[in-house]
Amino acid sequence: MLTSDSTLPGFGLKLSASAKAYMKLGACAGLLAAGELLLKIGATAQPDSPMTHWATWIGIAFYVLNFVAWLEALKTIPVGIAFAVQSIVQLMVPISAWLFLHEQISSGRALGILLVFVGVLLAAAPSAVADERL
Amino acid sequence: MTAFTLFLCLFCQVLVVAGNLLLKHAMAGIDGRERSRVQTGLWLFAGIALFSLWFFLWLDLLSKYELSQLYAFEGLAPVFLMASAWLFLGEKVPLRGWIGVSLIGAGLTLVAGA
Repeated sequence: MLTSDSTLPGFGLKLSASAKAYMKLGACAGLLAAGELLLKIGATAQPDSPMTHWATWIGIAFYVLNFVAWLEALKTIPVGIAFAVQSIVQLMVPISAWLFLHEQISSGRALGILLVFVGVLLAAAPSAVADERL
Repeated sequence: MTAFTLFLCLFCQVLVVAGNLLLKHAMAGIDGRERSRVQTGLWLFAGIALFSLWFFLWLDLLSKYELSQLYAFEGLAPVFLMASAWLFLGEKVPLRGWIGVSLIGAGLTLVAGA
């Protein structure tokens, strides 16, 4: 187990604490979004037996990777901030329905999406994502 | 939607919040000197247990109710989690964090309901 040294041996690349935090949060959100998408593909292609479709299994693997990345993120990022940033994944479905399926988006829902974006920008300010342990 | 279903929906949010608090507590102390690996493992296990319970409860709710009804409660989790992490784990959150999470909560509720 690592001691709480500030630098990892073998890591020449120096990244600021908040840059690392953003990369971890981005990896979590990306893996979760990709996992949900793959499960949806599997369930749509094989409605009666999604477990027989390859996409379902890759989706499950992405969920597992997301959990590992989430644990890594929680080592340093306050959980309240990290979870708030993950809310952006929940906008994926309404936004992609609007972009790719050209579904009508109600003004209430558009306002909600805007509020979540502004909220994530505020919550994920550099001063907030860097834990006091760093 | 009966009162009991409403309770189950809220209970789902409580499970997600409590599970994340346990995971954070486990991971925040992982490099610490004062806690053993066994203790860290037990906190992790407790968090995973709550998420497992959440998963089966959520599946059951999904099979019985409309997605839009269930998603109406999703906005609560970020706000509850930030407040309980402040209360129980002593997480310091700047003012803009609180404003941000309030907007997120309101936004998610609007997206589900509108």
